Amino acid sequence: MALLWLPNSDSGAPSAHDYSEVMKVEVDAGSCHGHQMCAIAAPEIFGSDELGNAVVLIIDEIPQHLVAKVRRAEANCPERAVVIKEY
Amino acid sequence: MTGVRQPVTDIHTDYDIFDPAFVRSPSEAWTEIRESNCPIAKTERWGGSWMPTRYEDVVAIAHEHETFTSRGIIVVPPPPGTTEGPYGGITAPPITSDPPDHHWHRRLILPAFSPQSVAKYEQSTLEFCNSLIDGFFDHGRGDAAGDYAQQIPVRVISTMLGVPLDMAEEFTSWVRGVLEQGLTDPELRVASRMKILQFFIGQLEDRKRNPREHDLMTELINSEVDGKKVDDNYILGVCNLMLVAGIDTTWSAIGSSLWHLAQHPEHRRQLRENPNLWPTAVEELLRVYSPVTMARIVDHDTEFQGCPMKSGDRVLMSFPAANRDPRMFENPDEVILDREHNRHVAFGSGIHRCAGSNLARLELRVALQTWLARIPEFELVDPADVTWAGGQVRGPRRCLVSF
Repeated sequence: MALLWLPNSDSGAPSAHDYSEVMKVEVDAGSCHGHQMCAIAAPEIFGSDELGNAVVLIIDEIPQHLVAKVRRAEANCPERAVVIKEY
Repeated sequence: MTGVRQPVTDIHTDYDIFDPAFVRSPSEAWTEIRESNCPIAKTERWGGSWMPTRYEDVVAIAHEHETFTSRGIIVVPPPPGTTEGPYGGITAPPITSDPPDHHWHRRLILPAFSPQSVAKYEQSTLEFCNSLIDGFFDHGRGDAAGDYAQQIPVRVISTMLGVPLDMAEEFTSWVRGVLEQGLTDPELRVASRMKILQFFIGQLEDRKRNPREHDLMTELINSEVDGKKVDDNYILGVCNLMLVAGIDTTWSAIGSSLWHLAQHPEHRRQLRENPNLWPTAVEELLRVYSPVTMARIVDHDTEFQGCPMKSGDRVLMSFPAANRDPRMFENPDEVILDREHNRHVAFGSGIHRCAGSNLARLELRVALQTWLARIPEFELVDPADVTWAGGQVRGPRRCLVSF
């Protein structure tokens, strides 16, 4: 379970280690045309349905060690169909 | 028709996609057009066409499929003898289809091309690549295009279609006749198209008499849409497409990538030292050396980015030019094997995303991995000796390397 960084009067500005990102990811089915570039960038998170369109394999919060891969998947989708939700 | 080539007077109003200098190295021309006040060039050559060069424009046109239709996708208008007569109704669905039929034209074939489905061709492709290398390995040199790249996709597509593997040479010459030499030679284009269709008409008759298990053609014969069997022209069109679109496109990508690797020892080393790079490296090579330019036909008079396009005009979908747009890609002409941001459109964009893309990238990866495992160090015998095909599909056709 990732932790949100909460302002803390003791600690001043947060460093990179002070918080974790809480992220979920979706694919907009209307925009996805099955390029599969999300699954190439992040095979742990994206797969393919019978037609080759993207399916999200992790619908809960993305584990911290996969956050960078989700960003990469988003940055490689030619249809901009990967939607990152941050909390 | 080939005759004496008139020199290009102005790249913005008179480009020639078959000009040998453009075929050899198109990126200078794309840059000149893309960075000008009018990033959409026009020509009267080869039946006339428009050529957008910016990523944003190419993608927008690909998505506006009601205005920019796919009823003609070859960059040179069809010569007499292709759209009329007994076989005139045979096209190349779904690439030549528009909505609403496009939906089922595509839906029926996509399952055969999903990542899960194409994975079964990996092992046989690897073995075949190795056998090709065995053929020239002891000579210390070979033609990376002719002896290797060219041989691979035809074999995979033949396997997928369940047609004789020993016809690879005929298939290759027919496909080049339609898509490569045929673009500037209408008689060859018509004759090659006829050979492909007659071959598949024979195959279809055979499947109807002798249905096969796990066979794409048999499955298409048995498939129904809205309670009705699909017609023969659809099945013949799909087979036509798989042959024409599945062979020299992928072969061109493999050839261009080997041509690149022959000249970049640092990239060979990177791939050797970090095999995790392969997935992004394949996408990057596809971006920089995108082989395929498609066409669209303007449905009704329209103005696009200030260009007055008329009903019936052709628009070249220069996905390769879009993939070099600096507005979209940092250092676009540079190959960066671990590029982070890569929304490339080598396989198109929108509803016509290449149906065979998963198969193509599997073939490209396996072909390159197998080559580098056997031939880790190699170089061009003579850079000036490399020959290129261009127009609709760009890639090296002779690329001698030594090792």
